[in-house]
Amino acid sequence: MMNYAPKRSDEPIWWGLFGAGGTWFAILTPVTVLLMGILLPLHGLGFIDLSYDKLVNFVSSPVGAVFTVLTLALPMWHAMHRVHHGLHDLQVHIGAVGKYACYVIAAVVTLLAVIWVAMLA
Amino acid sequence: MQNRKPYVRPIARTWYAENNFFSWYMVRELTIVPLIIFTLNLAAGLFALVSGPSAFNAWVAFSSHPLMLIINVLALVGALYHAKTFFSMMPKVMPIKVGDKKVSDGTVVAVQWLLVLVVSAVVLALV
Amino acid sequence: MDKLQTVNVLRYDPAKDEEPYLETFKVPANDTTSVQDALAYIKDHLDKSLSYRWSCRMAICGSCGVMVNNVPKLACKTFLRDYPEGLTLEPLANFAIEKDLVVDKTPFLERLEAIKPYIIGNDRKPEEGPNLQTPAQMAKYKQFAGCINCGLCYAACPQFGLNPEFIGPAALTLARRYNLDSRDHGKAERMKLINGKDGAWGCTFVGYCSEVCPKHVDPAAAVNQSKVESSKDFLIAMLRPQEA
Repeated sequence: MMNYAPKRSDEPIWWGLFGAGGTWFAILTPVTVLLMGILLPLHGLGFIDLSYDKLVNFVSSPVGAVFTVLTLALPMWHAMHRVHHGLHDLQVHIGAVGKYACYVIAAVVTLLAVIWVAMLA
Repeated sequence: MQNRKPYVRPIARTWYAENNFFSWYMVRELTIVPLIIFTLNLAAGLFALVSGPSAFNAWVAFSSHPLMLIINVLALVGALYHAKTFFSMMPKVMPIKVGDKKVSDGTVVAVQWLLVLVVSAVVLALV
Repeated sequence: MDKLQTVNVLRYDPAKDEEPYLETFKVPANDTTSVQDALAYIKDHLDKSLSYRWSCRMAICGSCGVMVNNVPKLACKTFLRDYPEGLTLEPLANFAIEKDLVVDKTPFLERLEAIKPYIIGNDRKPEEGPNLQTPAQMAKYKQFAGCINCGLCYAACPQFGLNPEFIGPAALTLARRYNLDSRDHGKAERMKLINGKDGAWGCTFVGYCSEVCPKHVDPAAAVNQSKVESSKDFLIAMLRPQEA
């Protein structure tokens, strides 16, 4: 017998953040990974300047501050939503506690990003 | 009805490995693994910026470790694969209409890839 | 020229068997032999105890869904010529087996009924004449109206397999089809089911339902559009909590 009077799910909140994060992940993460994850450790291959001073300048600018928070927060919300559903796919049952734990991790990263960016402003 | 004895087949633990379509679905879902590692490391990089030049240099050294570089290359490939799947879902989830006509899926996908190119070019030009 | 082809069939007799087992048959086949023809041959010439469902033989009744080499297909629309190495037929996945290739479709029918797949709240009288729609009004739901209730999408849906409470692709698609119909006023009733965790939110857009649909209905699109709709419904309920 199926449930004919289900409770309203809170998924719209998490799916909304998942969608925003997925959009950022698709459009802005590739170039961010290229710069910060590949070129920076390779010292910009000698032609891109990603020095300490330049990055501090960027993060402390208004646009840079917003970009930095979003590039850390949004993909995390996207990822933790997929972790939550992916564990279900793998038949690992984490329950409501596990579900909220996933989103708490994303919230903590968001909060830390805001605090650290504010410390540089 | 006395002879009814419906047989329920169990779902295999590895159901996603038994069908190519499901395997690619799992690859899509797994793109978040290198993404999470990259993002947490980037957050650590931000903390290093806050902490000062010597902390930042230590973070760059850590990020230059071959293992970290490999993970970041995987994150880049994963982001591009995610983009491919995400862009093709977009016109299905939110069909766009111009007048009475639905914009074709192919057009919506192409516009999104164009957006990636433009955004990436702008970011690279500003660095 | 007919040549003998190998057809493996998953057998299960609830009166005798503890679990299903594969049985191999040799069936004469040519380029026109469908899986349904092969099953009819087995029943007529090799084993009259074989049970399977069929009716129209032209991909419109939705009765003959089976797994062909692990892919949900209509037996009438699938041909042995495409399986030169032989093929394995099993009852539709994610449903309980009644006997041989016959599954218990009760969960599927229950869901179709639950989402009220008919026009609701239209008090138009016959004297008022036909309820006209513009081509644009019809285009909104026409694709989603092509469903023949064959259940292949349920056999294709891992989320239905993993969570038997999930309302599933076809029922959610039919709900979307009526919600998009300008003659219908039953959306609020259907949204109650769609808004639940086993409604549209039970889906993770695997997309295989749309891949196997013999009528190209694209259930994945319908279900995920319903997530957008459910999100709007959620926001409105937040703004007007007394109506939530």
